[in-house]
Formats: sequence, C-alpha cells, structure tokens
Amino acid sequence: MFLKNIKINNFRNIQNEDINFSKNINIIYGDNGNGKTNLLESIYYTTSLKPIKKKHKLIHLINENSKASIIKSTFENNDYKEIIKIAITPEKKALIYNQNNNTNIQSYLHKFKSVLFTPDDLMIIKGEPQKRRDFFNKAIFHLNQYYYSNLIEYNKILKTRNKILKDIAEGDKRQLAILEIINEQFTDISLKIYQNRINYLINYIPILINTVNQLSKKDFLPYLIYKTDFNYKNRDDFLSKLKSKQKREILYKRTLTGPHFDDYKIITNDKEIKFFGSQGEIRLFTLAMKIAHIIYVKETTNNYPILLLDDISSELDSNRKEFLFNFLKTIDSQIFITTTAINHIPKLENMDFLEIKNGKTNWK
Amino acid sequence: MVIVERLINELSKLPGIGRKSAMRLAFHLLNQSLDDLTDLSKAIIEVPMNIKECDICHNFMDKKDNVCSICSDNKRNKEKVVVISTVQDLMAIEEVGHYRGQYHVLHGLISPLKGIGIDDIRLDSLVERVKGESEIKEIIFALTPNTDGETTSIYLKNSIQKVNNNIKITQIAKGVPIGSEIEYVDKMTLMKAIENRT
Repeated sequence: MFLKNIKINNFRNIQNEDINFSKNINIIYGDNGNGKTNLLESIYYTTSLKPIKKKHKLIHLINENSKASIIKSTFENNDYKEIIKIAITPEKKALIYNQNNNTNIQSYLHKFKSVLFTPDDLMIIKGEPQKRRDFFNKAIFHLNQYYYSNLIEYNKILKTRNKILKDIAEGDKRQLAILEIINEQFTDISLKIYQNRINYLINYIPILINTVNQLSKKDFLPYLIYKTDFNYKNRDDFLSKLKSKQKREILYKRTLTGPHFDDYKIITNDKEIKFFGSQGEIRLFTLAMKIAHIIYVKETTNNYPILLLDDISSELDSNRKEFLFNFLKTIDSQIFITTTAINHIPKLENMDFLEIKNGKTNWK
Repeated sequence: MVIVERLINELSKLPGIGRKSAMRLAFHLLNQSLDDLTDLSKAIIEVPMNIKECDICHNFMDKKDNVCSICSDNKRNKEKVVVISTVQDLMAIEEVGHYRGQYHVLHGLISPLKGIGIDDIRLDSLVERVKGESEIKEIIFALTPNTDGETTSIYLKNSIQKVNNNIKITQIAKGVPIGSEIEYVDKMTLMKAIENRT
C-alpha cells in the first residue's frame, strides 16, 4: 500500500496543493521555513491522527488565514483505492475513510502505519521514561491492534483506583472493600499489558542487537531491559506487592506503581546508554531502535510501514548516513525524506525530487 | 424572560437534553395552549405522587399496592433473581417474556469516578434478601459488561457469599448477537464469543 496522491488545503503554511507521489523514495527539499516538515506532517497526521509535536493543538495545524484545514489522500493497495479525508477545525477533527465517517479509529490506525524519524528522536533515549513508553506503546500497537484497548482500559481502572485511594485518604473507609475489587481488575489488566510488552520485546531485542552491530564498527554489547517493580508472570506476586504499597498509596492519594511507571533501559557494555553514551552513540541507538521496529513489522505482517524522515541526514555522520540509505535501498517501502539540500543525500535509484517554496510544490 | 430562562434551565437538567434542545423545547411549550400544558404538568407531577419503589425488588410500582406486580405474582419462580441496574433493563427482559423469575433493580452501578458508592445504590437489600432461610437459589447478574458492572457484580458476589454460601451465582453470557453478521461484530465481543464457545 502506498500514498498515491494528497490534496492539502490550509494545513499549516500549505494553502492549496495537489501532489502525486512515487511509490518509492520521495525527496522533499527546500530552504528552512518553506514547509518541508509541514508537508511531511500532513502525511504523518493522516497515518496517526496526531501532530508531530505532542503539545501542538488543532488550531496550530490550520493555516492562519483560514478557519479549517482539509487533507484528502488516496492510497493505492494492489488494485483498489483507499480514500481518506481529514477535516480539522480548532474544536475537532473528523475522519472520513472511504466515505464512511463512522470508522473505528483503532483499526484505521492499525491499517495505515507510518514510522517517523526526526532529530528529536534522541529524546527517546535521553528523555524521561514516558518517551520510551510512548515509542514502545506505538510500536506494540503496530503489531497488536488490541493493545490500545488494553491501554485505554488500564487508564480507566487507574483513574478509578486513584479516586478510591483519595476517598479513603479523606476518611471514606467503606471504599476499602471496593479497592480490593479494583486491585484485582488492576492486576489483570496490568498482566495483560506486561504480556503484550514482553511478547514484543522477545522478538524485538534480537533484531535490535543485530541492527546495532551492523550500524556500528565498534564492538557493542547492546541489551534492553524492561524495568518493573513486579514479577509480571505471577498474579499472586503482583497482587501482594500491590497491597504492600497500599498504606503509602493512601497517603499519597494515588497509585504509585504499575505498567505506567515502568521503563525500558538500553544497556551497552553493562552501562546504561542514557547516562554513559556519547551523543553519537545515542543517535546510533535511536536510529537502530526504529529500523529494528520496521524490520519486525515487515517480518510479522509482510508489509513495511510508510517511512517519514524529517531532516535526518543532516544529523548523521557519513558512515551512519550510508548505513541508513543502504537499508532504505533494500526495503520495499514508500519513503518520504525532507532535506535542505539535495546533495546532503546519497544518490539512489528510484528517487524523485519535489521542491517546496513558500508552501508551494514543484516536481523537478 | 427570567421565567423562560428558568424553564430552559430545568429542561436542560434532563438526560440527553443540552441547552439548545432545552431552548427548542421551552419555546415549543410557550406556543401550547394552557389546557395542554396543564395536562403535561399533571402527568409529570403525578409520577412522584403515585409511584414508589417496591420494598423487595426496587422496581417502580403503584403507591397503593403493598408489593410490585412481579414480586406478588405467585405463578413466577421464586428461586431465581436477575440483578439489573435500571428499570429499563427490567422492562427489556420482561418484554421478551421468556424469564419468569424475580428481579432486583440496583438503580445504578458502583462507579467511583462518578462518585457512586456502595450506599448510593440498592445493594444491601439484595444481601438481606438472600440471608438465612431464603427461597432464593440462584442470583443471575445481567449488568453492563464494563468495569463498573464488573466491580458491582464482584462486590455483590463477595457480600452474598459471606451471608449465604449455598447460592448459585451466575452471569449472563457475552457473545455474538443473533442475526448479526460475524464480520461486523465488535472485535472484543468476537474474541469473548470464541473464548466462551459452547
């Protein structure tokens, strides 16, 4: 499946563009501030229904001279077409998929997968645990559509549990009986989430190690550790650990443990790369983490996600750039790359060049 | 216009009625004859004057009777009790006509997030019903299959078993609706249906 055409109306600085894409490598180039990333984001938005920067609101996506933004895209899947229309107003967004405005978002997002590479990816390793959980949550969802339902249910039970802890802290002792029940529900859903995460990691880690070793000439002994307070295989153990923390949790009026506190630690040569890795090593690992995920998706679903690379080539040294582009050459995926200058990018077959100036595009 | 504003406010407290719908209703009422409006307000006010909850099952009933028509019907099975959260649920099961046992209406579900606790719904009276030498042999939960429904049924199950260990406790089945097409069934339901196959 590939994105054949996109019609963009008033999305950020792009006012009115109608672009046909190649199913291979599309290079989007232009000086800074002309809208390269905005064009890339319109594709990212279509495949994730979220802006690239988490804190951006709907109103930031709409051109300042307009009240609404519309992205209409046509995907080609063997011999049939998928037509997607996304309308964004400051208050809400609407998805119309094959003329149906009642699409199940979860199965839609599971179908149209993309993987984005940006200079901010470094934060996956350097940032707080939330960044790593976000990365892996999305990755696991790519392979297991029901993982999001599990997360949604988990968050609801977590919220309920926090409310009960607060009630008890404020003197409502009757809620203790309800807390017992919620603890059981919290345990069951947590174990489900662990199971999904561990199933993913069991297959992902060997691919990651392999990718790191190919990317680097140094002798790394990379490993990834899932850090949790619990023995995630044992229900009784989970439940008793949860109870042992109850007094403290009532004091703090919230849940102090569970999958939403867990972390993924990336280790090389026995040291956590977050603290001991150089900038270059961290960059190499984030690149490897994404490439390993793409390989895993391909191995499992027999399809590649769409790859979106935002200004990544200026970030990488020449060895890694060579590795990345050699990798891109071997995969049968539609790829979009933004860059300030064409000569930053190694020449490959099947590349098409799209220039963007002041939000207007031109094939070269 | 203060009076109209008050009417709009009162109407918008009704479930499913936002401010816009409340305005539409209010201005519709303004155009009605006094006779029609008197009939309407009578119909509304007569509800609390003549209806109360049944002491046994908490179904709505006529104030002048002692117990509701279902609880007083001696032809019905006294050994089974279906537990539901609303009177609408009771009516839905009654419309089918197949079930001929007793009911217990909770008038809600335990929902900590909505601030509904164990004392806010009719839980204790169900536990009272099964205490000691009760005729009841089976409790059947027919609650919404979500977290609140589950919390409520687990709480009740625990409380019932504390006072009477001989009662059978069951739950209505989850699965594919009859007459529906498999491909359109919600994935979660389909998964449950395969798990709970017979």
